[in-house]
Amino acid sequence: MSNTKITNLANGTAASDAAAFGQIGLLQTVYATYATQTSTTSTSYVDSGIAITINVKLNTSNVIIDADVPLYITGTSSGGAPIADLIITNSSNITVQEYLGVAGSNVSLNQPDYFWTVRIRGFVATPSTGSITYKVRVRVNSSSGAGTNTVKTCPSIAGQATAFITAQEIQ
Amino acid sequence: MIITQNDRICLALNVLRPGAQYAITGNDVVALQWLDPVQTRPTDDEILAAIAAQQE
Repeated sequence: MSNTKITNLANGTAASDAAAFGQIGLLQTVYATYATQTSTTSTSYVDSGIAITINVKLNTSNVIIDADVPLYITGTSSGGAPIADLIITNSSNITVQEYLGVAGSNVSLNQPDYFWTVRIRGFVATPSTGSITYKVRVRVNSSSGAGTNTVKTCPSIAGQATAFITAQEIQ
Repeated sequence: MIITQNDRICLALNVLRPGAQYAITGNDVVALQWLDPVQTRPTDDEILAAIAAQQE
């Protein structure tokens, strides 16, 4: 234990002082669930409804976003290639992390459909303190097969699937 | 297999406007976001009629 004294500290908070002296790695974790089916045939990103809001304590922090996204993808052709893209954005739709071609198929089935859960994560430096919302958006990959391809999040096909999303503020 | 109203709306739109781009969250047709730059959005009544026809 050092005998060095800390002097001339400005008024701060327990969290900011502890972070300043390297005593904190993880500042907070928040989580949310979402369980309503969204369906899209669009090749442009749309909101899935899966989102998390974190009230950032320090403007020097980073945030890790981590989501389990249940997906169900279908196609109407015999080409058998519906493909999904996912992206994490902030509330202004600015990209945090994009996952292209994260789920799909490339087999010749008539009207293919598949469902499974995909994990998507992102890392972002926080520009300021205060409330920030991060969301998962979804689209049909433009390289999908012919016909109408549909990507569904939180599908109900075999019981209502639930998405789980967390955000962690770290130093 | 569980078919929700969300699924029925998608199936109806596949018939009414094949290949059209849209998004819908939940089971209410009012929540339909029409994103297709070419094809026009069918009315809510047209969609509900197409769903009824599928169930006959």
